[in-house]
Amino acid sequence: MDQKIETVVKDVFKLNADSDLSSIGPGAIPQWDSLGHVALLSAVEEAFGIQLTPEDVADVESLDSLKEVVKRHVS
Amino acid sequence: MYREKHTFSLPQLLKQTADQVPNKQALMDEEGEVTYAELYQRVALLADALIKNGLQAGDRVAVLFPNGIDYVTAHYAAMAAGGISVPIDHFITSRNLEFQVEDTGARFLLFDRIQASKIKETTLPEFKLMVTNGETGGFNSPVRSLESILAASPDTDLPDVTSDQRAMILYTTGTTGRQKGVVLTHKNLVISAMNIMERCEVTSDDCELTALPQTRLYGLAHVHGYLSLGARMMLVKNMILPQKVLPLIRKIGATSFPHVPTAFTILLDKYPKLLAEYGHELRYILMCSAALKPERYHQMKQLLPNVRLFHSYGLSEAARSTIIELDKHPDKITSVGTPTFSTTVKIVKDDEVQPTGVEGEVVIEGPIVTSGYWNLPEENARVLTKHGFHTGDLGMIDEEGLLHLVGRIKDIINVSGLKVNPMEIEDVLVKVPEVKDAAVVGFPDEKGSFNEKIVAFVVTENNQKPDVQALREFCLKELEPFKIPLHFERIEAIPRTVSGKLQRVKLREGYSF
Repeated sequence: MDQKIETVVKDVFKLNADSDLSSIGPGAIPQWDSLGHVALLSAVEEAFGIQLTPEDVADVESLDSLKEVVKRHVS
Repeated sequence: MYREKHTFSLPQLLKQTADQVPNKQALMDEEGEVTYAELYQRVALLADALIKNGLQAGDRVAVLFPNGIDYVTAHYAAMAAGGISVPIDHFITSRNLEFQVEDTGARFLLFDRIQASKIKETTLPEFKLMVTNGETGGFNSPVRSLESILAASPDTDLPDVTSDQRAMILYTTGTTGRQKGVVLTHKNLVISAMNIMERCEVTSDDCELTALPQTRLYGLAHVHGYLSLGARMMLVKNMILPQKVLPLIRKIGATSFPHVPTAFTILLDKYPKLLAEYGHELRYILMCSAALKPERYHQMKQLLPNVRLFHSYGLSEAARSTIIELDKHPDKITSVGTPTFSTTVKIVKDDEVQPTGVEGEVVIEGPIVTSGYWNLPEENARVLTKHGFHTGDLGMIDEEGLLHLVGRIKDIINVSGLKVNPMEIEDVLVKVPEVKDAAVVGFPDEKGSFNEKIVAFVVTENNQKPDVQALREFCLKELEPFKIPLHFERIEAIPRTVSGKLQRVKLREGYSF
């Protein structure tokens, strides 16, 4: 599942397939701005067929916390 | 209170405030805060360093900082030294940075530490002085640290900067493929800022929390206004994570939180509880840059019934030409309001001013209007006529004197309030070897939050399916992220007139996305 989220991140932010995501996060790259953040949340919802609640969205502060939030829905 | 400031320059107004309320908190950012006396001292010391390193009246100073105290210090110092501040977007590409420095002939560069690698990678001329809040080694021009300049003794004697002097050059999206530098005097900036303050009844008791980019006049005009009135402001770098930003409203006692309608659409859809919890503590919200949909207004009023909601219309060339308090016109939410003080808005068609109710080009006249673009006399003659400044927007004035925008004459695309010239993207796309021809069009973003979405039509060698990932990666190297097309559509031929002029309207009408 983590890999699928990372694929969504790379797709949304137009990154190479072999990009290193270890230091990526909100504001770390120009594409991850406020609109990019919302586009990422929407793309994750679509990819996993889930609907994030306002509480979920407020919990997403990093790639790791995004993975945690998605896990809550999928597992 | 507001109009008595019209005859002063921005540095004069900051000095007045610093003399009147020296110990009052002026600015906060994510790293600290300064009083008015401290802010003015920072400005004076940096201005003095610029002058001692050769700055003369009218010299351009490139300012490349994210939102924060250092940005405001640099912007005001450039003006206080008698120079012209050139605020540059912090996410600018190397290509556009090179262009703006070259076009303005800036020989002073004030920049944030996070821009160091970009500056080293960009082909820039030698500067008389660079100043940074980061490491000073490894540059081709003399560099001083901001910290060392601000540690000097305040023994400065700054020039008297007057209202009619040029204050700023702000780059905006051009209609002919290149960016244009809008030249603004202190008078332009002070009157437009005071018009906002007057309409929104801002006083020295107000406090604004803002995440708006301060390299755009929408955000920067608020800085000019608040600092001239002795009010307080907190500048945050962005609003990527509203859960980090909105609680600051309570923490700092904010009464104002301006942003584009797109941001409030995101907050309403994704963060409604946060918006309701903290937003209701605001006194007013002023929006700008794109239309607010009526249903969004009603949603906002439901969540924030006691917050006064304003909307405004303006361009870099004529900031905040009209403002409307939406609550006073609930049946005309899509209007952008009535002209601000000393501004005249006309509707012009076939070189004639049109009566009420007739559509035509929106033309603006008054002291907020720019004297023209930097180094573009032909463009100036085209857009600045006997009627005033031709905006390229289509509009109509109703019987109540309210301006309604109905479309655009120009092809500029509005992505969440950020203006994008399709020709700039087309110029990049045709550099890709597989792309024989390209056309870029803005389509309404009905489902999303972007106002318009960018769609690129490409003609490829042998009509092959384009490698979308490769196209996006190529664009990302040459263009700012908000300019990257959302969709790439293969097409056999770009519709053109017999003279070769691109017919975007045929693409806009023939496709939907």
